[in-house]
Amino acid sequence: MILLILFAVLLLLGVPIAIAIALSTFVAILQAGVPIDTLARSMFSGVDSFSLMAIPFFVFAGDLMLAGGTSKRLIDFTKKWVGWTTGGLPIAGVLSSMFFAALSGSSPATVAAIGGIMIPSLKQARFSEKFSVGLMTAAGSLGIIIPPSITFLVYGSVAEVSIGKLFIAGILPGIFIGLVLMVVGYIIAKKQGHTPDPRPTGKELWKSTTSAIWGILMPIIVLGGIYFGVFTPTEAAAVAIVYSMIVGFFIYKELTVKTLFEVTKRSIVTSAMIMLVISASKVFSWYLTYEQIPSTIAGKMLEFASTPIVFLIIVNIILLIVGMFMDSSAAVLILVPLFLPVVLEMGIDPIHFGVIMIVNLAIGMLTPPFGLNLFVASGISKMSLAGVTKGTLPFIAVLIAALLVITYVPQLSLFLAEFVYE
Amino acid sequence: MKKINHLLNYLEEYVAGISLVFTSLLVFVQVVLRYMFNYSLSWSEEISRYLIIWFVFIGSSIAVREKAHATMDALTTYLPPKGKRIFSIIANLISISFCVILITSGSTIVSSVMEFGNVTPSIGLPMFIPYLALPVGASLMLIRFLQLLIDDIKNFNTPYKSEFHPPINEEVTKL
Repeated sequence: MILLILFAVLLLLGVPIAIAIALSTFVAILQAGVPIDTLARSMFSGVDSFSLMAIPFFVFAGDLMLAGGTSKRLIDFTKKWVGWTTGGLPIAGVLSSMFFAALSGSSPATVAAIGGIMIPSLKQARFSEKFSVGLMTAAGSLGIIIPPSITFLVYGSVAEVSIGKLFIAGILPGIFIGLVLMVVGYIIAKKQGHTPDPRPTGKELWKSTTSAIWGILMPIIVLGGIYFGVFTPTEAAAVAIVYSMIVGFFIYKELTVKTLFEVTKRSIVTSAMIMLVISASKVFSWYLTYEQIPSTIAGKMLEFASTPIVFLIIVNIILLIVGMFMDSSAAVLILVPLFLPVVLEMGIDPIHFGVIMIVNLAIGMLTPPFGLNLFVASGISKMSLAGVTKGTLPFIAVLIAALLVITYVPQLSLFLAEFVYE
Repeated sequence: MKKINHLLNYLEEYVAGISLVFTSLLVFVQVVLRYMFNYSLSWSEEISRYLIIWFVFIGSSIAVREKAHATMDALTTYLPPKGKRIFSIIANLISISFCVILITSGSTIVSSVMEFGNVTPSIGLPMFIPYLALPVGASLMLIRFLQLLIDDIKNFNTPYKSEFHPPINEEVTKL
């Protein structure tokens, strides 16, 4: 109890999440009379893992791809193919986000990379600003749903399930959400009316495709390599780094030694921050196990939520609320140890549960008052936070509907994973 | 003082940057060796794991300096400028005390591991070297939090400049 109160107070004061978790747990540990070196020991073991190394690697690979000029080529590619049809431009925006999500494991990065270019170009085609910003902010949520995904990596490490399986399980739900967003974008585009791009010539089409092909190939190599057992997710991420360096330096020739330094620094900061939260959460999960809290909570929850349907609804609501306030990796680290015993008890597949959780948290990043994607979108579009929120709201409703489908149709998540791993 | 600070900044960035680039290349080379030559480096996994641990704790110090650590600004965004400073001072003081605890806790392990002379399983590196990342990283973070604290006290009467930094800088977004 003291742990919860202290944790909440520290968070509200603006203490970094990692420190708030570790410090409040440490106080609880001291009360339980456990030696002081437990803190450092748990924090060490929390990041002493080969599979978690994939996090800094994927962050680095994604940043390299962005700095290497991949995102604008992907956008050019999708715009040339579909942007000239009626309602094609919003579809191109969502498609580009999907491609970029397959290179990057982060939602805010997807909003910044694709939204930064697509929002002005949607506005230029006379779409309303609210619609343009809203659509691209919502499409950014695909960043953590379509693999590779930082949040899936974190989930896999806490729930102790195969990361390769999780990645493959995220593909169909990601495509499904992308399709839903495209349909909505198309309907609104028809209503609003706009000027489509000029129809490209065959030559332009060919040029944009050959130029973007290097970006499109990367997810095929990475995911294909994981699925066919050529390498582990961590190794895949290292391959992705080398691949994006080669593309950035020698094929697109946009990466220079100077930008490499800047990119590296940005990746260090982003990934060290995530890893420190993971490290601190290890102290928390150690304490939970020590005090046998998860089984107590599981018992109470099972009394309360008798069937998986009721339980999943409750989980959805909790996660949507938590997602509004907290970073998605931190939320996974704190909540998975508490939920997992119930999940297993109820016979829900932990892979399916992972997908539900990640989609939930992705929506949480779009919801006011503190959804990170809203802040990023407001930053890149220079639109007020209230404006961005209003624009995103209709898409949130759509995403919640998609979430319900994903929650109650486990086959959507499990079909491909079972097919590949049979 | 300023010079030492600059030196520290560079040192942190270089060590963290080189660890990241080196480990990723090492893992890549390992994959290539395995497939092309059916050969496996016994030490590569261990070395890369320990380098990443150093990377995390040194990188965390850089993140403190850049104010990039994830926080929950639910309450603080709605405070007046002075209130923000006061909260930031309190938060920094708490973070500093945490660093002190982590330094103590980490040194306890380092000294006990040194005493028993433990070595790592595959390359026989003294075990205190990877563990040392904790007290060293916590000390670096401590310095950074102190700098933020001094900055808050010095500029108590001036409001913060920017409210939000997008995670990706402008230059790249404009590409």
